[in-house]
Amino acid sequence: MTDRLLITVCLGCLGALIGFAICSRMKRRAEYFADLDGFLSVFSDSLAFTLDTVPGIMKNYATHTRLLQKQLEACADAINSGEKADLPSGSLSREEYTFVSRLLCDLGSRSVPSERSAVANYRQRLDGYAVKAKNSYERSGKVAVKLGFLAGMLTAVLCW
Amino acid sequence: MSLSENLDSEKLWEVRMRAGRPVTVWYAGKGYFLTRSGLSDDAGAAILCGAEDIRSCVIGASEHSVYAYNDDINRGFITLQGGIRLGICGEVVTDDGKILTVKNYSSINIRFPHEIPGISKCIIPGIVSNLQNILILSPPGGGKTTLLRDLSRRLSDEGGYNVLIADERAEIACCKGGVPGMDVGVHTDVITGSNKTHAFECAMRSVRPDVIITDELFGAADAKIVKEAIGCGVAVVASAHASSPESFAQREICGALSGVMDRQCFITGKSGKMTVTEINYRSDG
Repeated sequence: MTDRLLITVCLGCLGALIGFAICSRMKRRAEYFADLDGFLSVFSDSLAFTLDTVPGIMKNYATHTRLLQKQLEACADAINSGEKADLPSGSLSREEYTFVSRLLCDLGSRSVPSERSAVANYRQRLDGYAVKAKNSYERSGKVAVKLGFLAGMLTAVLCW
Repeated sequence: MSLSENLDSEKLWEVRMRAGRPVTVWYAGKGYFLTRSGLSDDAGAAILCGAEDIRSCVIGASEHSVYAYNDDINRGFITLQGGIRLGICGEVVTDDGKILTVKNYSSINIRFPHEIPGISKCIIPGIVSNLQNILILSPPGGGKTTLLRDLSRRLSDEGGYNVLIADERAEIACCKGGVPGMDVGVHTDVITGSNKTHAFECAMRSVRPDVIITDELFGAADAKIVKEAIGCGVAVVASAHASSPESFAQREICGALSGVMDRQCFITGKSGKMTVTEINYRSDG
C-alpha cells in the first residue's frame, strides 16, 4: 500500500513537472517576444540618434532571454564573417522562426527612413505573435501544471 | 576563392565589379580578369558579376548597416578596415537637389591602399628641414595620396611637426573607427569626412598644426581656405588632379592659387615608378 501511495505521489509530481515545463516554455516564448520587441525599440532609437551598426547593437543589447541572446550573437557573427546566419530556433514554431530569421537578417539593408518604416512594420507583426504567446501563457500556463498533476495521478490510479 | 590568400597583397591594387560584366583585377601593374582558377587574360573564362553580388558587397562593406553608412554611400565610397576603399556607382536618388541615397548599385571598385615609406625623400628631400607650401599635381592613380601619406609621416616623425590631415574622403590616413589605417606619424591629427573649409577652420582654431596636409583641392573655396591657412602661418601641403602641367594651368584653382604655393610638383606614376617635374619654384617663398 505504501508503495502504491509513493508511486501515485511520484507520478503526480512527474505529471506536474511536465506541466510546469510546458508552462515555462509558454512563459519563455512570451518573454522572448517582449525581449525581441525591446531590441527593435533600441534599434529604432539608434536609427534616430547614434546610427550604431547592426552587429554593434546586437552585441551590446542586454537581452533578458537566452534564446534571443544566442540568436543575436549568431546573427552578429554571421554579419562579421560574411556567412549565412544559422539562428537557433528554441521554442519557436516554424512560422515564428521564419519571421524572426527574416527580421534579424533583413535589418540594416536600407537607408534610415526605409529602415524606420521596415522596423515599424516588423514590430506590428511581432506584436501579433507577442499577444498570442502572452495570452497562451496566461490562459494555459497554470492549467498545464494542474493537468499534468492530474494526468500523473490518473496514470497511477490506472496502474493500481 | 579568396583573393587575399591566393594573391600577393602588395601587388594587388584594384578589383572592379560591374553588373553583368566580368570581374577585373589590377595586379602587379596589369589588368586581368578574375576566373575560378585565378587571374587570366581570357574574358570568356572570367567570373561574371551580378547586380545582387554588388548589392551584397555594399551591404557587407557597410557592416550590414546601410543606414549608418548612407552619407558615405551618397559620397560614393565606403572606407574599410586597413584603408581599403569601396567606390560605389548606382542610381542616385535626389529630392529637391539633395542626395537621399543611392540605389540599384551598378558597379564597385575596391582599391587597396599601399604605403611606400621614404618615397617622398626622392621627390621632396628637403621638406623636413625647410617646411614649404607644396602643391602636388598628378593624373588619377599617379601616386599623389601615397606621396602625401609619406610626407605626413616624415614631417611628423622626422621633423617633429604637428601635422594635421584634412582627410575629406578618408584616403590619406584611411581612418576607420578613429584609428588611422596607415602610418601617418606620431604627431599627426586627422579630421575625416569634413569639407576642407570646415576642417581647416577647426584645425587653425583648436588644433594648432604646423602643417596641414590635404588632397584633391578643387574650386575657389578650397583655394581660399588654403590662402587663409598660409596667411595664418600654417604650411599647407596639398594635391590636385591634373593630366599635365599645361592642363592644370587652365583650371580655376590654378589661378586662385597663383603665387600662394612655394612649389608645384607634377608627378606621374607608372608600374611602380614615379617621376617628378618641378613646375615652378618661388625663391622668395
